[in-house]
Amino acid sequence: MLKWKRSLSLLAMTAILGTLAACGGGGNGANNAGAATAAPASTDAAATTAPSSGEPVKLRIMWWGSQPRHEATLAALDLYTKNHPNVTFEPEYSGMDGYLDKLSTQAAANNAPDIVQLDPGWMPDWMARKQLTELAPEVDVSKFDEKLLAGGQLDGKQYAVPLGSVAFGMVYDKAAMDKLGIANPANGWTWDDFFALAKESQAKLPDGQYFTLDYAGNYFMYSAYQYARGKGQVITDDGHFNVDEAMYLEWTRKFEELRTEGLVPPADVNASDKENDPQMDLLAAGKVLFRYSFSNNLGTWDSIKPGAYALVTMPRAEEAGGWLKPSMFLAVSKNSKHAEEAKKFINWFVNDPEAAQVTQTFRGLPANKDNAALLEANMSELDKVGLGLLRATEPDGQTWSAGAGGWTNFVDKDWVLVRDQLSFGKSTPEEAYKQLKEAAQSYEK
Amino acid sequence: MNRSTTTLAEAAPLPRKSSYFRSRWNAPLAGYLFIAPWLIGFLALTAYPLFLSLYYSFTDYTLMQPMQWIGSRNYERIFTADPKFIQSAKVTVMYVLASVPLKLAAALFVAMILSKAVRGISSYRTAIYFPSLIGGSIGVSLLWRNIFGVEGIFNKLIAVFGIEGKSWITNPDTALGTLILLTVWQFGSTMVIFLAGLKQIPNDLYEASSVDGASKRTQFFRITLPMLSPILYFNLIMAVIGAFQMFTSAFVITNGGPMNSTYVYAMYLYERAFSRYELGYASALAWIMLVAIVAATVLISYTSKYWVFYETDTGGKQRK
Repeated sequence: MLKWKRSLSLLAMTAILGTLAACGGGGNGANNAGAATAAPASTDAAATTAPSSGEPVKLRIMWWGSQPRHEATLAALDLYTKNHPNVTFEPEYSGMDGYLDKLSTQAAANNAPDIVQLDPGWMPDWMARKQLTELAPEVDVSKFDEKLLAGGQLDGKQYAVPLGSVAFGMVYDKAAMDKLGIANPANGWTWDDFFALAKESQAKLPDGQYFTLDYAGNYFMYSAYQYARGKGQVITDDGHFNVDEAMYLEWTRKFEELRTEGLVPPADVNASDKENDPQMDLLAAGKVLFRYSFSNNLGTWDSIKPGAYALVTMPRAEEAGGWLKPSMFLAVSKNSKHAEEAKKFINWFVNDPEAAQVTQTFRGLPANKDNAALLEANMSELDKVGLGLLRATEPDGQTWSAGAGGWTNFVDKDWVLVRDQLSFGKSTPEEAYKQLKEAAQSYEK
Repeated sequence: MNRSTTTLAEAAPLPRKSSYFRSRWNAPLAGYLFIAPWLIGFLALTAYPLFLSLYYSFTDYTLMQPMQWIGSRNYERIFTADPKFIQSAKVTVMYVLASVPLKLAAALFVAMILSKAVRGISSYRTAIYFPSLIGGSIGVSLLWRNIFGVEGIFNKLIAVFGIEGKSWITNPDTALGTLILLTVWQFGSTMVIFLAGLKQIPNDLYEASSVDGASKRTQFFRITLPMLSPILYFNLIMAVIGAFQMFTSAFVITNGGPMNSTYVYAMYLYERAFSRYELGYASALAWIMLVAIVAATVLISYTSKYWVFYETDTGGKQRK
């Protein structure tokens, strides 16, 4: 039938047009953004002239975290609404998985939430792209540690405020190790101790249980190792690739050994790990004994298996392996229509003692010194363990740096690809180094 | 395409050109008014962004800086100095080549079963169509991640038969396969179209052939497939277009990994556009995908004259 033929062609054409529309979607978003970048000044002006007294305002706020942090944050929002009935919130919270993707997409469409939680590593990019609003004068940072504030500053202006201070160390399954008769590590242990303990545990580990994750291609763990060996940052502050070839080969070969000896999980199991996910976190599942952790995360693991876990400093070598860093930042996005109210909320959130009592240490020990002292005075046992790691790392810990802008994708994509190739045995340490070096070229300035 | 225009011309000889156009404009004004809502939407939401993205593809547009016209530099970079482009295009082509035939075969197979007159058949149809209703969603992708994980149901199931499973979605050899399986599972709408096509085939063809002693197999290849070929043609084009744009499951289930084995083209485009904010470059990538899809569609339409059979085509000259 002729009809069939024509209507089919027509349907096929419609389908192709559908494709065009889908491709055009990118253009569409870009278009909105284009229009918006043309007029950021006007949004700003509108935000500052808007009257702030008593007018009902709904603030969108977005953060990542685990269940205890979600609950504490929601309680803080409720408290703020109780004190300021005109301000209500539309919270968007999730795990870390996919958080940056979601936020970046919203920001690209000029639709980012008013208040956003950002990782210190993203700060240089977000500030350079002018996606944030200056926080002064509404937000008072006089009680903050200068070192922590630096990560949220550009050209002398404060764009984001640090929420807490955390130490980078390791968490281990104390209960399992005691049961298997493996000695507990002590603060100040070295990388030699670490690898020796791995070898020692080999005979004691049952099938399907491993010493640690396959960190051969892990950006953060390798960073810690290179620091400890005195070779400095992996990416320098002025934006240069600085992986020390000898150190990198040494590190990856050591993990190659652990892999052949069955002390790290097989590649596919290793790749299925999702930090802090009750089902997919390999530490929580009892499959590995050690993994890296920040001092404030103990509470999350403890909520999965109470009393089982303990913290220890990142192993050291010539220098310390761990460091203190701001846990995360809170900022107001550029396109916020209620920037003033948002800043007032942030000021309350980081400075008010009442707020600190509610949010506790789920974002690290508060960066506000008064609040930190307040919480330290009556801290839970669990928080004291976290604080212990913080204090043990403090004296000679590495200096944390937000690093150069523009490298987020290098860490999130290129490094991850090499990590997979190493753990699946698809590339040798030498090839891995070469590949990283080549990939880095498109990011160097 | 060619044939259809000639048939049209034969059926209605063109009037003189000028009067033809005038009458086109005068008479159906009401018609244009009726389609105006669609037309405006199409122009504003599809055509305009579409051409804007073509324009962007020739610029270095990033979100935060003023853009500059850079000619074909984006395209040159993509084709000469972008290993990720080649890598992601390869994965996508593999995905299209594997998922499309499997999906069509599954849809046809199920449609043939469901075209039988059995009691309560409509409830079976509903049940089988159901996965397609929820198929494209994030929820199903998350479900998939759990089914094929190390501790997933799938491994528990095959453990019953003494086979030791692995983590299917985090293994570079099987990750793409699990995503293809998810696509195949969502055969519902394809299946419904097949089902409609099967109902159209006159029963007397089967009766006549069975009188002549044709086996079921012969009937399938000599009657069902040729009679169904226009439908197959349509479904093929739709499936190919859909497969090229695959994104959700790769993004949610595997996030392109492991080892980029599921890093499809749309994911690369997304990364350039929304995590690196290189919208000019991403627009160029989008246009390359569009050209590839059009090329695939044209290729299929071109070959269709060798295998698509229309009942009205007399003399069997198209029939092979």
